[in-house]
Amino acid sequence: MAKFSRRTFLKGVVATGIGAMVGEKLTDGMYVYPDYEALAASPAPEEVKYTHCVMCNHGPKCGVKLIIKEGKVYRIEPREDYPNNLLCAKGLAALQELYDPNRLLYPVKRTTPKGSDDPKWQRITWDEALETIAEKFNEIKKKYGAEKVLFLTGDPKEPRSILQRLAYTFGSPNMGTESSTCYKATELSAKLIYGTEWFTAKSLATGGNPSEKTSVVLIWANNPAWSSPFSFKKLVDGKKANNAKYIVIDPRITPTVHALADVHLPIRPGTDGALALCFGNYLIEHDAYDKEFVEKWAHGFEEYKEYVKQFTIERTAEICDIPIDRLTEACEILANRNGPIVLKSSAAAPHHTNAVNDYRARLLLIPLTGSLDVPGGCTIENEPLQFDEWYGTFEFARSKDLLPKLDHLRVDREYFPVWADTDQQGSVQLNMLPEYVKTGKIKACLMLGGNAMMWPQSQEYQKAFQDMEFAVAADMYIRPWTHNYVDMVLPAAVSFERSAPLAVFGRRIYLREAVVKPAGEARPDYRICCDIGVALGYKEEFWGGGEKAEENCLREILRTLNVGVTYDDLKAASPDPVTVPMKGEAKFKKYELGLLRKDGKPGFTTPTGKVEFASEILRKYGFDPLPVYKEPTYSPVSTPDVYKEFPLIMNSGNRVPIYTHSKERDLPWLNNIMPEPIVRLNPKDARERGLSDGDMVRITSPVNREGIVAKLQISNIVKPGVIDMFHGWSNANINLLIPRDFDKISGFPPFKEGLCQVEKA
Amino acid sequence: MRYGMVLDLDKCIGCYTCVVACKMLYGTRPGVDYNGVEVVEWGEYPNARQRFVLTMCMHCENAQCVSVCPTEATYTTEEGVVLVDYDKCIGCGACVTACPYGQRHLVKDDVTSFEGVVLPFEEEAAERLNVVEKCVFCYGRVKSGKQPMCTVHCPGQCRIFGDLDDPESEVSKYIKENNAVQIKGTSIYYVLPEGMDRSLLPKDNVVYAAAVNTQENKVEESKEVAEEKRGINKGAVAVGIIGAGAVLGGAVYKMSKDKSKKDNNDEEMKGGDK
Repeated sequence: MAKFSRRTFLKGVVATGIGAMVGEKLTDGMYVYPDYEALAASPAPEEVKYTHCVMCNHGPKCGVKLIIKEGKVYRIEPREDYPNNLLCAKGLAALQELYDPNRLLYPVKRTTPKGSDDPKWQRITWDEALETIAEKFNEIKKKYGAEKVLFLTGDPKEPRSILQRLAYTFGSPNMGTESSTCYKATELSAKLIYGTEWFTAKSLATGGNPSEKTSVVLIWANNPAWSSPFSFKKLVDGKKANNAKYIVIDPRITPTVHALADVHLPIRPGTDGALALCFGNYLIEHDAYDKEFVEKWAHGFEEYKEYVKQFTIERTAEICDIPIDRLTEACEILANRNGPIVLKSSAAAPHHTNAVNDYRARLLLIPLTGSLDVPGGCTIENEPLQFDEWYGTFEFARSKDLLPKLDHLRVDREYFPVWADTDQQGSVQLNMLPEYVKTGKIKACLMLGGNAMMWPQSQEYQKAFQDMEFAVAADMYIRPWTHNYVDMVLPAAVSFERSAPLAVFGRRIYLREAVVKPAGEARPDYRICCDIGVALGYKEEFWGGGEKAEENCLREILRTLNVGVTYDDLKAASPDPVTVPMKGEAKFKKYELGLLRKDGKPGFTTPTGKVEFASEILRKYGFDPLPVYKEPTYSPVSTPDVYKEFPLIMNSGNRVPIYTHSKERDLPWLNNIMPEPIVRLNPKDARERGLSDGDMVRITSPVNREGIVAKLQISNIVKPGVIDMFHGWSNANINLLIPRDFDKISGFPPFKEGLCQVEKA
Repeated sequence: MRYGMVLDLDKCIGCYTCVVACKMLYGTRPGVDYNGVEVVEWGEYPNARQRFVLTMCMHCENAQCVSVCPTEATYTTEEGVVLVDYDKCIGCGACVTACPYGQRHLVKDDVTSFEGVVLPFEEEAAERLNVVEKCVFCYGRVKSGKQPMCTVHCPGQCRIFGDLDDPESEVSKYIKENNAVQIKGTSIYYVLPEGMDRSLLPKDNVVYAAAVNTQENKVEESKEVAEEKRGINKGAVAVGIIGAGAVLGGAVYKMSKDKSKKDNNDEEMKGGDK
């Protein structure tokens, strides 16, 4: 082991004249604490560069300022003058990821047959990788059709547009994303209520954020303290400013509860639909709803009013297992409001077998209370910049010109026609992947950053990848639980090495420039897609790929965005944004002004032109048009016999502030804080099972009696009779216990309901 | 000028950003953390509460670590900051035992974030071994007009740092406006959340009066000391406290007191998906 000469190093720093940057000398000879602005021994100049963070889900794009010397990144600081800039532990840990020696840095192919324990990865060149991919994909295209190749992304939302461009140019409409299990059911619910026009649905899907004029905030299935630390302070400060009443609905007592809740409703997981319908009924019974809006703009209100009558406070308190005094208080707060309400929900809210109906019931409280597109309520974006789902454009992604021609070849329509027929952004529902492969509809795939653990009964998805004729993944690390089932893995560049796509906040567009060159042979996703496009024979459509791929894509995106802003404009302004001015003024109640419909008529883009309490689209597809409540497929009420054997309610997917899904387990700064899978139980449930804090326990479910093993943590924040488990651990994958009982409308999985048992392992 | 910090536990959400920000700046080795998060709970569902007690060097007024150090490596600056002169420290560990808060770390294991590799942020720390390290109130940064790293990076802005001797300073005003509790004998204050018992915070560091009781040396015992001696329980023990431990690590990983155990547990903690 090398001998360290700490003393020599430090004195060297002072001697070479960096003394000016070093902290004040106390007395002669004493160790001087440097300012840490100059850490390296060399007097090389310091550089500051700007980018954004992707360590959670690519959504917030929190600003990052990097301190660099001689091409090495030493430190992360918050970025000044930037919309989101309160980094969290994950964001800081990006430094460890950047330099993680375990990163995959070159393409590899397997040398053992699929199904073997060890793929025995062999390093290959990018040329060989691209040639092989092109050969295999074109072979399948020739033999079976281009649509047999699936293009999917997991965590990486950033490359969605370029991946679509690749899929559609190749001739396959089958591009899908992790939103098959996240967010999209909220958007679909909004589409069914307000119309299929995407920008409106997008604005309203997860509700909104409270503002000064808000009078009641329903924070429902959302714990921003842990899911988005950067946003929490603003939320807390907002409460001081607006004097609103906050109702927090969550089975757990989270920091969101103690910081914000005037009333906390500790709900039984899976019963949110009943609660929402109870609120609706109370408001109607007490004449506390917006009669004028309903009369003019609601369709199906009479049916809704009749249906919700059964959700009295008494019955609902029983269904939802909420103390009746708290439920009453919450209803009274809603009824006695003196302004609009805001629903603040989450992408994870629809993780139920009755996803869309549960969620629609919640969303409908917005129009019911007259809170739609008014100050203080849930607003619709004014003149949204016409980016597509992830800051490409529909023209760039070719979902505008090519996708309609390929639409009939979508692989998901047969299973989820409502999803397929209301989807203009282009993204197939992936949850039936095992069936797609079994029936020969999908024979190959390109997967950017995907993970088999994402799905319930993950082993079936591992098998699906295995049974494909050819599967290639791109990732920053080799992930055995997914990559053991594919043929090839390409090295993906991390965030600081990428420069696409743009970072857009409302009307502000920021260029994002790569801070360092990709390590090894890693390539940014945008480049990977372009290079594959070129290899497939589409040189022009992908500008020849190569090192300029990201810039070429950005230029095209901006050209097709058509707001008079170019790549060069952004570069000149960087690190500041270019703000696109509005043509008109911000307006409220845009539905009255004809601003929501393409034909310019007042109203909504629903079949009836109104806000649909009873959805005509659902009626057309043979579903109940009302947001009917249903017990979870496995619950104490729907399956009392199963409940005897599995007397705990499943609740998985809770957030912790230091990890996102399955990411970041390898980063020592974060792994040190939570090194292993944890399941939480209330002390009562632990006592009943003779369990102590720190015991290893086995969790089982009706669909998996072998179960998984995790460490127990006893906590009073957990509802008695309910477990609380974090997903994404390959050594204790909770999704193995979840059945593939998907919501019939959206295909969403039931991560937050069901039954299970916990006992000593 | 007396530096101090107030930690607003009412705002803290237990996100560990402060812990990681400090590690990033100082490049501390795995297993060495200058600050920590302890989870505490009280009450019963649905009225229970879970909160986070932030721990760090308390920069004590009459620091025990300073008095036991055989080489005077540990010293207090004129602003009340307790520092270690790495050049004088001989790694005897006396101060580690003497610290009532377990906030001094004798760095014995020559480990870095990733085996065999020294990342840029840990280049400086990797040159040090067999010395004691601890929170330094970001002395170097502070002397050049900046704020401590934990303070800068906290997403909830729960930490306020500054001159306690200046009644107009942000920290002094914050303490006054929020009725912050001082840990007596130290430079640290806490804003206590509603319902949290004072006994869940670090103990006061009040130096006992000398046991010698001669005519000349008769010392007036402070009221607190006298009461302690009589065994009066100053703070009711909250019902149903869950033991200290990283909220996310269950019983395995403790971030403050059990230093010796932690060194042995290094292997276990590497855990994860391997």
